[in-house]
Amino acid sequence: MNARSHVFELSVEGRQIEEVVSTLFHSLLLHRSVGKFNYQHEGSYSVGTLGFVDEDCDFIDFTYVRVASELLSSNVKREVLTFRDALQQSASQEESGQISLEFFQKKRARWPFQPECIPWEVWTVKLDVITLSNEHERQICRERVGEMLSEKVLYIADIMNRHEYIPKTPNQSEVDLIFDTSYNDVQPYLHRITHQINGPSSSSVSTTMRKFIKDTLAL
Amino acid sequence: MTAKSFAQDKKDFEKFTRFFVYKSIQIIVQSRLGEKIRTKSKPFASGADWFDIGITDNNEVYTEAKKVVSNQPSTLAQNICLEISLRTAEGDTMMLELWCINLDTNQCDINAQVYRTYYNRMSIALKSLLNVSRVTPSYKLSRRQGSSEYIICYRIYTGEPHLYILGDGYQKSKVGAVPTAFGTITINVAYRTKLLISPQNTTKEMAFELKDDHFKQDNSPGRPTTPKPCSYGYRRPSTSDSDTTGQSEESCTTMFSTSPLDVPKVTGKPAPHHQSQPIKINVQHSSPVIERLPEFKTQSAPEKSPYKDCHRVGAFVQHFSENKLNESDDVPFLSLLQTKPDGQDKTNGVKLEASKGTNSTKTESSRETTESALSESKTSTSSQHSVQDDFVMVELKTPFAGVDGNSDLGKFYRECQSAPALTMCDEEQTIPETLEKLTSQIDKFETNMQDFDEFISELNIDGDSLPSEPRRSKLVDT
Repeated sequence: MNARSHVFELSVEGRQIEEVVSTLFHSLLLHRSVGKFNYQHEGSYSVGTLGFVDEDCDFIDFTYVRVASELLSSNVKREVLTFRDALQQSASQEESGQISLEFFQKKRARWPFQPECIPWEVWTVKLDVITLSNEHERQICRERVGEMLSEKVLYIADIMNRHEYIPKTPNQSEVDLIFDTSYNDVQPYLHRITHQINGPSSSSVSTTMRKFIKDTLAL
Repeated sequence: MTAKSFAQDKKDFEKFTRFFVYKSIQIIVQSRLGEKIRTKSKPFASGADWFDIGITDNNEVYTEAKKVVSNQPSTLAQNICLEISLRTAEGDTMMLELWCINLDTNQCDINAQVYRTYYNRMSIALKSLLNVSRVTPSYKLSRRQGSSEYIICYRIYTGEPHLYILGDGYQKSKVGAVPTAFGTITINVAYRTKLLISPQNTTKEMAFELKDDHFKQDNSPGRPTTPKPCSYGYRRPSTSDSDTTGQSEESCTTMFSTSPLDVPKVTGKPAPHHQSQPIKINVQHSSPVIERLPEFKTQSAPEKSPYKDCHRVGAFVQHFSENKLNESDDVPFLSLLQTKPDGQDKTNGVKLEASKGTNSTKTESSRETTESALSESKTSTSSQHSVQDDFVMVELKTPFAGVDGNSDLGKFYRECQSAPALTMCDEEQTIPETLEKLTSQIDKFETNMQDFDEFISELNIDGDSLPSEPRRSKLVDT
């Protein structure tokens, strides 16, 4: 099955990395989370309520909405911070990197194999990290990144409202194959966050081949 | 699909649509309150948590939305528009954005199962609305609002959105779409991009509406829906999650079956604005919003409601009842037209005296009959009469009234309303003729110059003598 793939490309300052990625991923997760399912008996279930929280950014003129779940929020934050640190620790001044939020569903395999993961939607954020010399440039960048995030959020809304394929609501026995049921309060679709750091000369053949093989194996 | 199940589906759709509209309005208005919002996720939903999203209902906003929706034969028979505007402390208003929810019945997704599919799609559209409501420029403005500088207001109405109010270069975006078997519901937003306040893009309140009412009665937003401050009502106790005021009989259902869903199909892109069938809005029933911030009252353009609210009575002005205000609404300065000439008063004087004898004992009842009679003949008492003299008009011998009083009176109004033609316009003159006339006039004036000079010098003498009098009296006072 082909997964839908969307890519965002932005140029940001180092300190904006976390907020840019959090804005986009939380906007996506809000759409791709539902209230907690409570199965009454086989074939029927009730759905809990999804709360939401407004989050102001410190380094961008922007406010985004996230799902009200501390655990989900901290899980996303952990991944994003790892990505940010990896990106900033790079020796070069002009680093770039990408982080992906991938939604997938599982398919049970025969024993003793692990269930197969089939991605159905992948969102990738490619970031170029820029260094600014003065406060005036920072202010301009702060506003510009805010405007770009607005465009991206509108794009996300547009895609989400096309109502393309999302996995069917499963029976109780199969709910773990579609949703991440590890949260007590909310129930996002199964997802994972992966990242990759590229130096300035990232497009070498070996890197591309390595990535290609790695991605193939991951599927 | 059997007729019965179709009817049931239609009923469900209508119910979902209604609550979808209510929740959409709540999301937008609450996002303009100027504060961050946080609601809790709950494993078990309460009856008020429609579409599986914890949106706390604000009672005032709910009432406003309900008033507008209940005036329609079905929830989205006409577009539902929500205006967000900025009002400065000086009373200037600038429209910031316009949210529009509409139903395009030409774009149907016949494969969409009713109930769970609609419900899920509406839920996703509302999540998009949550996201998008934070990215438009007016969100940042709303976060910085304060009563000393400006406030953000909202207004809900039905009909076509008035996009021209947003100025040049406004942006439009599609926020959400819900394709169903009965049509596609879409939420669109158009927002102003030029946010500088200047005399060109600000309006004194109501200026547009008077114009709209004049040209297009049916689709006008209706005068009574004055913009309400977003934050005004929110500081009052709002409904909590468990409070389902006004919705108790229709709390949401959170039980679903796990029967496999159809794979959702993407319908074609819906048209940005649906041309709804022209169904007449009952303007009188649309919500008259009376609550206003007191500091802005005097700044607004002349309109009946502010005066009604203020209950200010000017010196020498007769106290008008609300009914009379409504009746005299369409004739400007009616009271001036009805001022009777002295002679007419004298002729009625005899009757007035006679009627005083009989009617003076009657109090309220006679006044009521007077007023009802007045309303029929479309007259009201002169502003020069005191309240006690109201019954003068019982006679209904209106000035200049002939045998057929109504038609004569109408003619009289028309004559008074339209300015009489100038006599100089009667005779058509060519430019040379006019110029010639002017030269002759100037010559005439030049010959009479001596007389004019004398006249002015006389005036000067008078003028010199006049100021001396108050000075003298001042001396006396001290």
